[in-house]
Amino acid sequence: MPGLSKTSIMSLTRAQLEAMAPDQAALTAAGKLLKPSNWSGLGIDAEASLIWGECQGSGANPYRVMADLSDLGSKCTCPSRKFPCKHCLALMWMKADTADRFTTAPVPDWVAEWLSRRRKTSGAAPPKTQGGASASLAESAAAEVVEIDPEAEAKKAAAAEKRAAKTGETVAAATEELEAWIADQLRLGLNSFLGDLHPRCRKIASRLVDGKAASLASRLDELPARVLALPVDERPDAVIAEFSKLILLVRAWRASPEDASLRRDVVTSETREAVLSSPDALRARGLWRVAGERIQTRRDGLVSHATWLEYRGGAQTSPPFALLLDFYPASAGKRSSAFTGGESMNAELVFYPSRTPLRAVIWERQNAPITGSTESPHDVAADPLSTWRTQLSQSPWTLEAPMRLHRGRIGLDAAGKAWWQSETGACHLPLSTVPERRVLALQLNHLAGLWNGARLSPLGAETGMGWVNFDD
Amino acid sequence: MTDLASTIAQIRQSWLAGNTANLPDAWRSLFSDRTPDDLDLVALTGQALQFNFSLQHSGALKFEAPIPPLAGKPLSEDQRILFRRAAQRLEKNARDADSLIWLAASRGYTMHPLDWMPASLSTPVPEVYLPWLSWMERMESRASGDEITAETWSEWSWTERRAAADALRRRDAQAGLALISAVAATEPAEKRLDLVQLLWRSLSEADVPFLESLATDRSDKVKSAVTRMLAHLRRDTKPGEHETELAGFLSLKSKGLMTKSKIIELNALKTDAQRRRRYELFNLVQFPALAAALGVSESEFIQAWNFRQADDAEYEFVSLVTRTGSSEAQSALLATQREKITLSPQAFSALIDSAPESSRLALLNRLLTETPVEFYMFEKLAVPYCGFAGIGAITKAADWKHARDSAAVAKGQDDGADAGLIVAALSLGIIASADAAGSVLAQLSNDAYPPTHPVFDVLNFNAALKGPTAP
Repeated sequence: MPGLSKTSIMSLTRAQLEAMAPDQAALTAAGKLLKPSNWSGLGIDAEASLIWGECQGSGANPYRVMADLSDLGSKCTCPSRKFPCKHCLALMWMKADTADRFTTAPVPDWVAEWLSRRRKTSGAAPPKTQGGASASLAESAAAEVVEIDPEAEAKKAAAAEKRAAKTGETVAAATEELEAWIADQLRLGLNSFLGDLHPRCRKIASRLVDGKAASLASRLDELPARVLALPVDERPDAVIAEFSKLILLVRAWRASPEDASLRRDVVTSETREAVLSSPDALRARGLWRVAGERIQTRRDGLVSHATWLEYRGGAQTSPPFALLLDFYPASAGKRSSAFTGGESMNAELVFYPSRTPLRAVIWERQNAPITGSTESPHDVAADPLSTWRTQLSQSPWTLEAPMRLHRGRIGLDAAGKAWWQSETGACHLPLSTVPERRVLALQLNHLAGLWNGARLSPLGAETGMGWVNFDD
Repeated sequence: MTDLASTIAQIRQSWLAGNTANLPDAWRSLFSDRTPDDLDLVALTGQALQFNFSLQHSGALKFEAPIPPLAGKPLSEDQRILFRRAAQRLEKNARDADSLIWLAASRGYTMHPLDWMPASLSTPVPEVYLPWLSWMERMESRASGDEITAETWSEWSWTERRAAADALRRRDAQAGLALISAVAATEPAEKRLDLVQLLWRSLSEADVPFLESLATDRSDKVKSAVTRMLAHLRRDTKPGEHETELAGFLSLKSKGLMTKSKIIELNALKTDAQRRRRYELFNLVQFPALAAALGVSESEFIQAWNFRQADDAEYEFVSLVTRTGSSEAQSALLATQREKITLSPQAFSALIDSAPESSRLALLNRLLTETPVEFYMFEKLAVPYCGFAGIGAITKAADWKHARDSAAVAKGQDDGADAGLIVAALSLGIIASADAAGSVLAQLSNDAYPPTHPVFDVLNFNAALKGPTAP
């Protein structure tokens, strides 16, 4: 039988798979992928430590699935946020039940490339590959699928450049229209604007969609909700702050339209694949803790699913927080979360390019036992708002930013509003909502939350009795 | 107001009314190269607002008293996830998730207060949670301002009244009695009954005058409760009208030719109305007085009772003895089951429910292995001995075959829920020991139901609680 001459370390059991699965749904879905017709190119290396295969998913191209049996690390090119995804589980499941379906073969480039990234820190050399050269997943996929015709490519590039220039002009016009709209609102008076918030914002958002400034349109669509969440007497200042950020954002974009983070905030976000294949993208491997999640249905019918991770140490320096952001149609129904608040994981994250890197994708998540520091290497500032001010000085259009707070508690003022207070009593921050009573009776040793310039929305906190999720 | 705040206030005022705001002199130097427009001023003002957050709370902040830590070991984050899943699974199936608390406590674990807290002060909880009850009691009295009194009784909601009266009785039995006796008459029958039942806590001779005053209460249920309490205090043996009437439903006979012995049998009933009346009477009488009405002692009554005549009457009989019989009578009843369980499973469960704590665990195991009772029946009975059953006892149980059959039916089929397996898996998750939970998981799981399937949520939680005191 080919490829089955390995030690017991490399043998897989169903029990291991069950322990590894993120939830029952993933395991059930994996079970449905076991038919031979779903798979092609099932392979195993000579040492029986690596397995791989291609699984036909719902997209045009099959997903490339690979696993390292020495530590049960795995990787798939599908967009699932679950780890391991159903494809990885199915691949390993097949290895456990029907190992003879794997043929011993040289390690493909795309597996070797993944392996070299995984083993970079341990110093082990990547295995020999079919092609001998290394390439990113996205690059190797493109290289194998497309035969390049230089003339056609040049034509395509010229056409793309022309389209980009035209789009740039359209967006620039839209941003000028937005500024004119803001000036109009000031002339009509903020009292009038506040009384007619939704229709006016909807109207300019539609114009921005026409002007190909989709990100700005979303921001305007959500502006009423952000303003109306505050008490009446704070709303004029909230509108001034929103206008201020819009003006600074569009002016910054007009000055540097190619800036990736500005383009993301004004036009649209780059694809996940583009971020993963970017050689300049900031990568951070280490211990990450899930600080909290926020799932919101937006006015455009999409559900935004945000997961905030807090860096707890590792071999490299990293931003203190990372944001995993997914969107899906509300009509698709509620999706199960891939994470649990307070959960820690060893992972390598790739950050979207930004002056203040925050949004990221998981490049790899390890199933190995959690090791390393449990204390964040980032200091908690004595003045919690100092991190917010730093953020504003670098990206003054920021709507909200994660922050870490000292040991403290949540109390109620005379009006019944909730405030976080530091243990020393020196710092106070108002909360967006009043947490349930039991939370008010807990000492919060370490709180992670989102500050939006007016209110703190707690995500999660350590207490002497365990982790507390504020999104429950 | 600071200079900046005052400057921003002026700008805000202008924009609210739609007027042009003037650029403050202090900001003029920022625009040495050009004349700023309104948008420049908006950009600056907005940033100034964001940089100089100055909102202050109204009045001093008030903080809740901290929830006290417990003596037990807190569940780990992984165990908490399993607990939440298991509790959700039980609630979805209309089962009481508090069994999990007893299960965890039996292994030395305690809950996170955000995952579970007692629903009320009267919720039965493992002893380790008493500090939380005290905390809840303090919170309730603080939230309601002054302590409840007979004068302020009507100002509180019924839930608050009941909880406050219960807390007062727990803290100071005499004060609780004084409050209940002062307000009971103002409440309707159902609530009056509820208040009177609170006196079971610390019931003593001091309560007798008040209980006697309720002997003529309008509600039969209140009178019945009072009668039981008085009988408990006085060991009343004088038959009343109910005892005499119920004795008419029974026959005391002699059997044996040489050695005569007594036997008590149920008279045949002719109508459903008679059956209902007999049922009512069993709930109204006192066992010593009933024995007196038949001219026998309590022990003689039990010796003479002809078991397995009718399941429903047997349950009523056992309930009567356990509720109102003397401790000698209860011991005598237990003794009849020493060699072999002759009671129906339902009647035996009633016996366990009131048995001394020292013998309940052994009785539970006997009920599991010697009777055809279903696992489901154990959920309530097992408190506070959740997790009592080893794999040997479980596999000897008659219901085990049914659970295995239910799992086998689903094998090879698409993911689905088999009702029989769900019921058995949830109950086994509560009664099995940690090791037994692991064995049960291994034996019931298959292709259709892998060990991580939601149907096994409670078993998985149980198996994860391998505490130092795990059986």
